[in-house]
Amino acid sequence: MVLQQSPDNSTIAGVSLDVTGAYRTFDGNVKAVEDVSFSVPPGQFLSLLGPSGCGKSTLLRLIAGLDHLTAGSIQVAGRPSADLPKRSGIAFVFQDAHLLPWRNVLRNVELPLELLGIGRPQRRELARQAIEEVGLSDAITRYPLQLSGGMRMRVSLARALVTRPRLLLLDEPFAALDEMTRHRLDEQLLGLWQNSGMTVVFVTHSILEAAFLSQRAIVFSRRPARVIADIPINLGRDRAAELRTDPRLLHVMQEIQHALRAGGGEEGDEHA
Amino acid sequence: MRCGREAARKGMNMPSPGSRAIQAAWPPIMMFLLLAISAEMIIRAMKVPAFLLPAPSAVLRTMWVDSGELLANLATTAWAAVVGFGAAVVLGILFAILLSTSRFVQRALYPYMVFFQTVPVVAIAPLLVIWIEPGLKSVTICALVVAIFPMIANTLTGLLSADPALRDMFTLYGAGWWASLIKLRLPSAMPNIVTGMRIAAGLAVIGTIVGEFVAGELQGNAGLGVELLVAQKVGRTDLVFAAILVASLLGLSLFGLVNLTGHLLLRRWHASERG
Repeated sequence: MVLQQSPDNSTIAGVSLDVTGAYRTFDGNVKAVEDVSFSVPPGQFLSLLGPSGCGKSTLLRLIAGLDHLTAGSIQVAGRPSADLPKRSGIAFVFQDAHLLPWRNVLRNVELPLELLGIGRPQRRELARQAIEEVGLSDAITRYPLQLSGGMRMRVSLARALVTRPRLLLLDEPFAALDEMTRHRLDEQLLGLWQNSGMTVVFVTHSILEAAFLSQRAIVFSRRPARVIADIPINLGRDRAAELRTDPRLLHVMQEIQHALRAGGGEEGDEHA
Repeated sequence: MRCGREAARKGMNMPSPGSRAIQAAWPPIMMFLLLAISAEMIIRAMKVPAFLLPAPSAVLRTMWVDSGELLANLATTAWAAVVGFGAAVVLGILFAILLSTSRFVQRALYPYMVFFQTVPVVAIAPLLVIWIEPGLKSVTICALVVAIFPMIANTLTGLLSADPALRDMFTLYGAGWWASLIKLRLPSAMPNIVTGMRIAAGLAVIGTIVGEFVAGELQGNAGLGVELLVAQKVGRTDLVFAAILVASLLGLSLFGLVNLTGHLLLRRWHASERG
């Protein structure tokens, strides 16, 4: 389903995401997510912000169908995420690159296609394309141990994009990188999103990152995560590095900052 | 910073594996020679009788004179040790995979494996003699029994410690049990498997020698353990030493072979085999 795409990425439509009254309580009555509801239209770039350990990552795992809701529902393209089919078109980028260290770049990026049962010639081709999109064509035969942190994260991004996902979930993907590298990768991600039309849900600690990248930011309270603010960011779709110093961006950042403060998120948010 | 380091690493002339092996080998060899020469001098100076402690030169002469017999016995011992080791590796990995399938299986079986491990092989060997017969088969099983536990324990640790994020990713793309075993859990366990093999290699030789003591045939070229026992009985202390030396060379070679295998398997991706 996902893989029957044309070579032109722009024809792949993102999917809608509907979270309705979602609860997740772990053993021992630890509440991670409490009565969270929001809807994401197809193709939107949404950021989720909140204090450390507030349950954003849990929410992301729930959306991916990697964890089960205690109550409520999460629907991706109108289907419950818990019983999505194998080729659901969801991709997940973790906090660190999490590559297979025994595979070179090409074979790491190929992996999702391999698991989905795509034949070798086709998956080689698609993997090469995805690697080119993140600008790593020169490093195709290198092993993760030979790459810098930023390069590894780009491989991780290519691995997520190789299936042409309709919903891309990112869990603080660039948090461990230095600021320059992070900015470059943000811009790269923005470009990939602009060209693809996929829906993106981006968990971050960085107010600047959220404001710069997304069309909308949802701010969560401390654990258990509840929605405190839902902030539209009307800065257009075509953005470039200059936007980072634009006064309009500063305004958005202030708004997010206020919401975080209202949710008591500041103490838990030192490394934002 | 990083760029500088990368460049420095690239610019440096990496020594070839061969010259690195020589670099690693010469200090212990020097040490050995130094010890042997000192022993030679002390034994000669103090006129220690040969049946108590033969001089290194006497042992060396015995190794030359009796080399035919020693080599024939070495062949028997090496066969048992290598087959026992190989069986321990294969069965150990399979058993660890079985244990990794469920917490329940693990809880049910693990205590017995620890028990197996704590019972000394000398105590099991007489049973093997009763059940099978003294000889190569019993001895090989002794080697297997001694060597299998570190294989199981290390492999299991490796299988269970595969990156949880990667496990999530495999789930996300609908990977089944077999695919995650082959593509994720077994490769993740490879460093642990190599560690297990290193320990098992030495133990297999020990298991073989001890097995030969208890369950070896007392005729023909029945192995270095048997030769050692016989030499002791007839007061050929020089031959005892020669047999010990040959046995330890066997252990070292097996260990070296395992190290080489580990290096070839892990050199590209595991920190333990780099720099």
